[in-house]
Amino acid sequence: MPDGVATTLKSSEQPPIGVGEAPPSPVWQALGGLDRDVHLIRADTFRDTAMGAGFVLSALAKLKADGLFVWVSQKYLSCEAGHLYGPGLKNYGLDPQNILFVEASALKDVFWSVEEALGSGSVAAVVGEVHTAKSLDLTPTRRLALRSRRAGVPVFLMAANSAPFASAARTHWLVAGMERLRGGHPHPWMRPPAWSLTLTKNKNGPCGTASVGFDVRNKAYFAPGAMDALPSRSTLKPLVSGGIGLASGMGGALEPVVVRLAAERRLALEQRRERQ
Amino acid sequence: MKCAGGAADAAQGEKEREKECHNSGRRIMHVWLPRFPTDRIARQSTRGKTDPLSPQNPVVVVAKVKGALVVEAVDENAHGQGLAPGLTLSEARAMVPHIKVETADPDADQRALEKIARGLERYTPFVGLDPPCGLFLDISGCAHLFGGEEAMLQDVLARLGCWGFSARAGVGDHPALAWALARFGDGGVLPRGEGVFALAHLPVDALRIDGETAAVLARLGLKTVENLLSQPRVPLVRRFGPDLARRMDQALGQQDEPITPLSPVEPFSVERRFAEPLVQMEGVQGCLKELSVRLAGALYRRGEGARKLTLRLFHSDGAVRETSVGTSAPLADPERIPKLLMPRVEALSARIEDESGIDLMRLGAVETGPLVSRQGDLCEGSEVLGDLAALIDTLSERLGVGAVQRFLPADTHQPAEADLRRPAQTTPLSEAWSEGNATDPWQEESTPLTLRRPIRLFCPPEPVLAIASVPDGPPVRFVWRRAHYHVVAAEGPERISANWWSGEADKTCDYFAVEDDEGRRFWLFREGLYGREPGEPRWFMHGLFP
Repeated sequence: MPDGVATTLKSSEQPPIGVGEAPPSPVWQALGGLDRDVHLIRADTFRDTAMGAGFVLSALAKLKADGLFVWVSQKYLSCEAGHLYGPGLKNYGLDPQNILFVEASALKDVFWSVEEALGSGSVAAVVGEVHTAKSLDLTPTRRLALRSRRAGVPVFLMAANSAPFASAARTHWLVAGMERLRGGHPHPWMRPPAWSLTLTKNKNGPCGTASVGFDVRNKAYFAPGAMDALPSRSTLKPLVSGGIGLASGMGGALEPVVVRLAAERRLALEQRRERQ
Repeated sequence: MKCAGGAADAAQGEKEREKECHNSGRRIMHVWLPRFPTDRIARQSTRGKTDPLSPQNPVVVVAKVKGALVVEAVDENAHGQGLAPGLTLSEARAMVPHIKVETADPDADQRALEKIARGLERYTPFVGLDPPCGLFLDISGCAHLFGGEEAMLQDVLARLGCWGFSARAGVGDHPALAWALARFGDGGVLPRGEGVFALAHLPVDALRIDGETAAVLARLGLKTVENLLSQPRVPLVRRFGPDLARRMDQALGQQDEPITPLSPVEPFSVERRFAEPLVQMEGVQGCLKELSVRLAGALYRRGEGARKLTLRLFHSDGAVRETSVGTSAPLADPERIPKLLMPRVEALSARIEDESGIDLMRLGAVETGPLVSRQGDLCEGSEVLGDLAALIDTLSERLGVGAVQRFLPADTHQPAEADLRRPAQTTPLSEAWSEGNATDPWQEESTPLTLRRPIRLFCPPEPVLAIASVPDGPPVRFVWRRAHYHVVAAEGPERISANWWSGEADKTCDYFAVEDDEGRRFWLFREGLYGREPGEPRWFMHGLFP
């Protein structure tokens, strides 16, 4: 992991939510309100739904780590966008055993299942995933909003493939990937999860756009900022001097093993040199 | 056998019960439908448009035997005009020119017989088929509920008559006796303890032996049961084989003959009979609540809960509607049982109100499990688990058991096999919610090898066209679903070889986690190794990262 990233984290102007003062951007303020009410998360295409799901899962992980979640998915989606994968959820800081995965083919069954889950009194959050966002208009979302408020349980509705529209949700989000420069040769590791979040509707404040990353280990959002500075092999050293676990803010658990092994070897060499 | 509830005829029932206490034992009823194929056709064709005044033509049912059309069954009218099974159709036509000919349909007959058997389950849970046109009812301990065996027999015959089937029935200590009595005797009840010698005057066919043997026996002068049984046994067996001996043993009650019930006998069941058929939904719902309270009470007293519930509605026209629901945890809650069953009953409502009405409702727990006590628990957990079980049941009931799933850990390195989801209802809560053991891959947080796994998986993987800069390296560009992607970062390879026992068919896969220039992350793999494994390696898309 590059020094650029590590220093960005430390001297970040926008600290993770829940730590210190809330950053001024409306997106960061809205991220704090994901623990209640109905929220609608859209992606432009099916291939982007994984990023939407990642965003929702991050909200769930922040909400209550050991809570029970119900994930209702319209059946058609599993061919278009894949279905939730247990080992990946574990990777992402959630216990897959706490997620009840429900597949319904008809749209009305999806809404019905979400409502039933809300009324059951045993869940921490409910996610409804539908094929097209056009169906998430005023009537069903208002029903869900009322129920969600009564039960005190947040609802996340996800959809791909549609233009903006009216609904009773508290916030509308558009999730997209963070663009990166094309380099010559592929870089040998990936960034932690990070998205470009656009708030297209906000009942409690202004809208806006921000880049938001998710730190899996600490269950906190961070501003990726200078992450786009492409890392190179020569920047390994600062990471090593700070210790292996330093980059935990960057999802240290997900680093390639190879890199960590190389870093350890370098650390050992350095220590030997110092002793001499 | 358990026959709970029901309207027992007080005085006679008491007497009968006393009698049964003295000599307990099996009592079997055999019901024979002699005109079954024609009755079935008549019932199906005249449903809703009965016209008893119009003259009916004699009906015969024919089947093709060795290229000729042979009469298999005749109705009462045809029988009266001298027609009998075994004639060829041309002979029958010569005797009675205006007969109506129907084709035999053994499958439809079997289905109709099963339907009748289900309808007769109102008398006893043990109803077995005796194809093509007979039924065995094990009525041990049931007869007193209907005012004794004779009254029960008359009730069965009257009910079958209402449904449009002529029938004869006999009651005896074992199936062979009841069979002989119904088919070759005059029917009726053979008192308890009277053996085969009460049937001594019947022809040997009454022992259920095949026609050929019976004919040979008749030629030898052994025409009645008495004649046959008085013969020394060994030469008979030598001459006619063990089948005859078996039938004789069965008739003497020396060999047990079990009846296979059509539906499994429920360990717990409660029922309610109605004097007048019930046609209104409200009545059905109210009765369901009452039955639920009784069933829950019976289950609770035994410390058990239902895992599967069956509600049967016996209509007065003989139809039986059956609905089953499963539960995720043993259930003995009188509030929740009707809630689970009500949606199914409501789905039937239109038909219930249209049709002839219900004269018996039976609610049974087909599968049960030990009831876990939830009282006196101070922590919140068990309450939440109970609510969760209720949620799982409600969702499974509407969407199907397979639609509500739980993720299970799988001890495998194959990504596709690690995608283990099981129906939440049938996966016991204790198993999935317990603390994981040491082999649980999801519990090993401290292992250094935490490998990247996507959050969404494609099943099956989708083919991808990819270009790699070096043969074993990550792709630099790829085409997936007709869109082009430029790779800016790639991790890997993570080499996952096929299970050694799967043979040559499965190849080694190199997995790469790649990121494109728009920030999407993919999990790609190359199937096969360049140069080392046969065939051209191919690329696939297996999952998406957040």
